[in-house]
Amino acid sequence: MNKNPRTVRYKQTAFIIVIFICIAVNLFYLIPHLKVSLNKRARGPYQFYAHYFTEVKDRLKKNQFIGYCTDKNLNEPYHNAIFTQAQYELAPIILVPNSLNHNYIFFAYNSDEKALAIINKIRATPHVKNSLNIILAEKKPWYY
Amino acid sequence: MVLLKTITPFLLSFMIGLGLLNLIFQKRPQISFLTAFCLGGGLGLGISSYLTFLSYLFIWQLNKNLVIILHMTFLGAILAALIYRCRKLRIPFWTLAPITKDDVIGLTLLLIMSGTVLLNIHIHPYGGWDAWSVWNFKAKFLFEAGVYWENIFHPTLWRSSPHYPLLLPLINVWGWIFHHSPTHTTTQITTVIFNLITIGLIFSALKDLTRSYWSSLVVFLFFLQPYFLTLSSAQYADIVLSFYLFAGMLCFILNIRHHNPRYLLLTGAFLGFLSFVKPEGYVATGILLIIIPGILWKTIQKFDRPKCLRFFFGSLFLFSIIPFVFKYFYAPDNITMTNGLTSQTNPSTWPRLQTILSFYFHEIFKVGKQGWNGLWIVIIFGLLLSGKKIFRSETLVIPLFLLSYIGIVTMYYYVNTHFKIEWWLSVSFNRIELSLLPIITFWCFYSFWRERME
Repeated sequence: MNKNPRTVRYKQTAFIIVIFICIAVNLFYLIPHLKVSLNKRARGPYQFYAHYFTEVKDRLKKNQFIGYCTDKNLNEPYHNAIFTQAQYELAPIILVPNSLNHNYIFFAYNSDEKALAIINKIRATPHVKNSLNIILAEKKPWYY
Repeated sequence: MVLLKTITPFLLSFMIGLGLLNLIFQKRPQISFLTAFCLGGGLGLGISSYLTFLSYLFIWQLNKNLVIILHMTFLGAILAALIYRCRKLRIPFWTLAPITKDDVIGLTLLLIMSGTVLLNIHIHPYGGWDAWSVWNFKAKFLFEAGVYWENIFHPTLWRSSPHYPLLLPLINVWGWIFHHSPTHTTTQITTVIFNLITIGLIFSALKDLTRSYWSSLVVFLFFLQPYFLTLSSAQYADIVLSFYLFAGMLCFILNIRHHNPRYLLLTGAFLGFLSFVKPEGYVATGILLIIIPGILWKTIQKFDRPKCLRFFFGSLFLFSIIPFVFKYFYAPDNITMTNGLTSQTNPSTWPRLQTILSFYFHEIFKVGKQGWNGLWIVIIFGLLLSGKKIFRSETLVIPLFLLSYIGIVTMYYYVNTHFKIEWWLSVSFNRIELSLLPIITFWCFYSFWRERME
């Protein structure tokens, strides 16, 4: 390595200039990103699907497992997010996808008729429907 | 009152960490208060995670009183040992460096700049996808499940990666210990703390070792980097992994630089915690378990070697017991593994390797709010300017580790064909970059400004 003080100074200046350019480029992207995001947040609350499941949490708390029946594709991000956030909110209760073998079952169907048909078929009682159109039904233990 | 309940566990953890640092160093170590504060914070939070896990191990559920008693006993024992040492051996109670003007300025700068992390957390209060799907979900589960906590490993929960270690969730459980129910403020505070101590440690360690005020540039480089902020404030474990990897290697470098084997006690502790953060942590610890003794053997004088190796292996053994118990007695197998070398349906192919390598290249130079915007270019430029000094013996552990780690990561991407490679790289490689950024940035700045001082 060249120890000539002038070379050392040039190198230091070059490195610092590159760092400042990098900081400037990052600021160029950061400020608009924060502005847009903060404006969006100011316009409306953060959308967290977990909150749609809060009101049934107390009713379900004695169960370790409950069913989550759906005709939607849980690999799609939107439906996956609803399922995963429901799981987050209801933890430590475990949601078992497409299982009817539990006391309580969520029915996340595209139409209420389809969900109610299955609920009637397994002789369950629908209790609550949340704003995401997901019905919570209870199955009496002696029916299975 | 709620705020007090929220911050008390973190304060206790910091006190435990700083107390332990005082106990480890009988003479004043050559690190500033800010460096000790960051190291002590990470040490204390890791210990809190282990102490919390003891409740699950010994009485098969979370018992808040037991966890609090364990913490108070541990803190009491440290204080008693410090008082004993002070009275009998005439060693000062506080052996760490006192707070100086530089520490106050540095901490103020860090606190102001961490405002960008707070803004990001305000935008995404519940974190990114893996926060609610994996990390915070596990924390909530552990906190509320009672005797059924082992259901966390149930195969139905495959979306939450049941085989992942529990350091971050247990830190959050400890953070909720004075609350009746989990609050997302605690998980946010954990994220802010790890951001602060990670970037604070890079800055203060560089300042200590190079005495250059230019080291403060790293604070701006990180806290004004939109992609870094998105990833580090997402409430994931990657910033935690970054911290323990960097802290472990930094203490090893400090041991070589200052000829003080006591730093190796910290290296062992941090590598133990590292293996309890994420599966990548096992790999990183495994690599360093081979490299560190090798470098110690080459660089340390013959009469110091037994002491150094005893400190390193002793501490690593002690702090690896909990990760070992978790891995071999609790964690289920990883079900997302398909061996592409033997699989007929999903074989590892040459185009797969090409995709991996070209993705690395593309990712490094990506520009935009989801890109590094020249951060890697700065690092590469700094390393080039430093020339062969980047291979000096005190930092040799970094290039050796990086070569091995990146090699293993690439092989894993190539051999495990369970996921479509484009999707897998797009959701995971940025986190690997995040975990390596602190140590590589330190390597670059240290090599460059240490050169200027000679």
